[in-house]
Amino acid sequence: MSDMAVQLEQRKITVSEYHRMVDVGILREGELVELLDGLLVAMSPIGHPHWAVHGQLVAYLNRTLAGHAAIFGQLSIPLGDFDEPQPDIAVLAPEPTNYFSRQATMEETFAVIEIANSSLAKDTGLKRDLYARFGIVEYLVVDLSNRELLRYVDPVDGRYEGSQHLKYGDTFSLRALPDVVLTANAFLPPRA
Amino acid sequence: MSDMLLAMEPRKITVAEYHRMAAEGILGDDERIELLDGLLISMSPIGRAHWALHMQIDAYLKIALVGRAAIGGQTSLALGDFNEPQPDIAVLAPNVSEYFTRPVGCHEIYALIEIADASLAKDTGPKRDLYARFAIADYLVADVANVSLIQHSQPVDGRYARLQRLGYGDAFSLATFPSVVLDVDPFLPPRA
Repeated sequence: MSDMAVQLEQRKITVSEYHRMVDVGILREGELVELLDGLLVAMSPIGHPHWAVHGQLVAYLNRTLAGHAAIFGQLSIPLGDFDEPQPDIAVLAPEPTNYFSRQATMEETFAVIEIANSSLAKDTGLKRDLYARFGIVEYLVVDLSNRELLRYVDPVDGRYEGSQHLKYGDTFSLRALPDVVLTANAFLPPRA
Repeated sequence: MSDMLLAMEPRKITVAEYHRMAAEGILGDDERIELLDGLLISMSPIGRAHWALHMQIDAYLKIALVGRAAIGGQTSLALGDFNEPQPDIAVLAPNVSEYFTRPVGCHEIYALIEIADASLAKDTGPKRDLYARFAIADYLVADVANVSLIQHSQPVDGRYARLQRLGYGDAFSLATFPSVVLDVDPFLPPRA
C-alpha cells in the first residue's frame, strides 16, 4: 500500500453494511476477506502447509473434544460494530442447535485459532488485540514458520495477561475445558 | 488508522462495486466520500471559506470559458477501475447532453480544481499523483492557507512535469485553451 493511506481517513464499513454487501452480491460468499476496524482486509490464500495443519487440527479437536465442544472452520465472528474476523478455527460450546437462530456468545466461544504463515504479524498484532478487547477467553496462533503454538489467555481490559509459547511435546488445557489435556503436537506440522 | 492496518492488504473496492454500494443504499447519497485506490476515503466537511471560494471560482470560470467548457461542481469522475475522486470543480468538454447517458472520458477532462483548506496534504499528494497518472492536463489546487494557486501541468509518465505557484495579480492559461488568459485572483479569497 502506498503512503497515501497515512494521511487519508477511511470511511469505515459497519458489520451490518458488510453483511449487506454479501447479501446483494458485492462481496461473494466464500471470498477471503474479513472486516477489521471497519476496513475490508484481504486474507492470504490458504497455502499447502496451512491447509494440511488445518485438516489435522480439526480432526484432532473433533476427536479429543467430542461431547465437550463444537469445532467450526472459517467462522465469521461479528465483534462490535466494525469487526468481523474470520478465524481459521473456532471452538464453541457444544450447543449446535442454538447457533441456527443466533450467534455464539462470548461465554460459548471457548477458543479461537489462527494458523499463521504470512499472516503472523496480523494474527499476533491487530487480531490478538481485537480478540482480547472483546474478551475471547483463549486465542491460539499456530506459528508455522517457527513451529510453535502461541497461546493467549485471560483477557483483562483489552489485553491478554497470559501468554505461552508451546513446542513439540508440550501439553495444555483450554481455560473453558480444564479437564481435557491437549497436545501441542496436534497443532504443528509433523516433526521433520 | 493503526500501523498494523497499513501492513495489511486491503480488499480493494472497484468503481462498479462502489456504484452498487450507493445504488443499494449501503452508502448514503449525501455521504462525503470518494474512492481512491480502491479505498473509501472520507472527505473533510466544507467550511465557510471553502464554500465561498467554490462559488467564486465556479462563477468566474463559467464566464471566462463560456462556450468552450462545461464547469461541474462536486463531480464524481471514474478514473480506471479503482478510483472515483470527487474534485471540487471539473472543467470538462462541453458535451453536457451526452453526459446524461455516458460517463465523462479522461480526454474530456480539461482541468480539475481542488480547494484545499484541511485537505492540502491529500490534494498535493495522492490526488495529484492520481490525476497525473490519468494524464489530466491541468490540475489546480487553491491553497487557502498560503493564499496561492498551485498549477500542475504537463503530465508525463504519471508525474506532472511542471508546477507553478501563483499569487494575487498573476495570470495563467490552461493547456487546452492556451489563448485564454485566466486571472489568479478569482481562485483566491479576497485580499484582506
